Amino acid sequence: MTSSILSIDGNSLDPIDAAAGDRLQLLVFGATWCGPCKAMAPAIDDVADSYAGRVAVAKIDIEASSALADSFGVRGVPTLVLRHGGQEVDRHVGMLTRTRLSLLLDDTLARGQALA
Amino acid sequence: MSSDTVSPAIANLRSTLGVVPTDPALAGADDATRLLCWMLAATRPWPAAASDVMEALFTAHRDGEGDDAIWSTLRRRAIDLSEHADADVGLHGRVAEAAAWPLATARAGLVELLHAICAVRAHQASLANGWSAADEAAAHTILSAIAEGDGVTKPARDDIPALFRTTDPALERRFAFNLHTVNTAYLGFQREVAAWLAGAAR
Repeated sequence: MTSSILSIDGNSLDPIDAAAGDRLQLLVFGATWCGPCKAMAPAIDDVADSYAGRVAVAKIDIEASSALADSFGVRGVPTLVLRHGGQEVDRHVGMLTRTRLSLLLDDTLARGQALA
Repeated sequence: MSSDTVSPAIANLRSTLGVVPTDPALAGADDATRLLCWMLAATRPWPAAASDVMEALFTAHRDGEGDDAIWSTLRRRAIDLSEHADADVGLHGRVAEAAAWPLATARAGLVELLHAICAVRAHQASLANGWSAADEAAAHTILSAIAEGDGVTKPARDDIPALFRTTDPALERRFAFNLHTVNTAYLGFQREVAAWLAGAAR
């Protein structure tokens, strides 16, 4: 399995916007010192692979991209932000299992279809 | 066997536990499934409310279930279980959530399962100690008050246990004992899994 996750190390979302196209975006704000972020990393890898056609995933280090983290009001890590069409559509603060994260994505994708 | 054929789920688990891969031939997809089934079995006896879901997951892994719809249904049932009002059932639900993916596409599977089962073991150790939710709440009330200090200064972190002992010696003694046994139970299952990876239980 190869990871399709983008790493954003600046303060622009242009790389994920360009890569995502019409797909939902999952922005994963974390930090190198964050234990729960490390614990959750395999689950993020798994969903990035299994949702590759529908969701674009980017990891963002809140210290390397502090202005970006501030612009999203990130106060704790991990913070997961779901974004579509330039708008935030959902967020979760704290660790999630793969099952819970998949449920969040499924629900958001279903809502998107309902609104389309 | 080349490293390409090592199960990603086992590779992640090894990394989490710091187990040196001495025998890569024992880390393929079949080994991952055998390990997962062994880990699930280690949570028996299951609470009555969790039994059907746990049994279904065990069977799905053992038989190599390939129907995505069945896995999806199992995940929904696992989430329902983890939201159960009874803490023990809820923690088994977290185990079920972790196990509700076919391992071939789940790098996170064994690591999440490990943490979930450790939490079950820790909870069961706490129950065996007679440590109740009321005890936990009472201890946290005292610890929070101590940590707040006198409104002007806050105590050093290292001083907090001694201040707790002064405030309520009996509760502090039970709190410390419970903490020790819970941590021992949590780490104990990690050691069991590390031993399995090293070949002890095959």
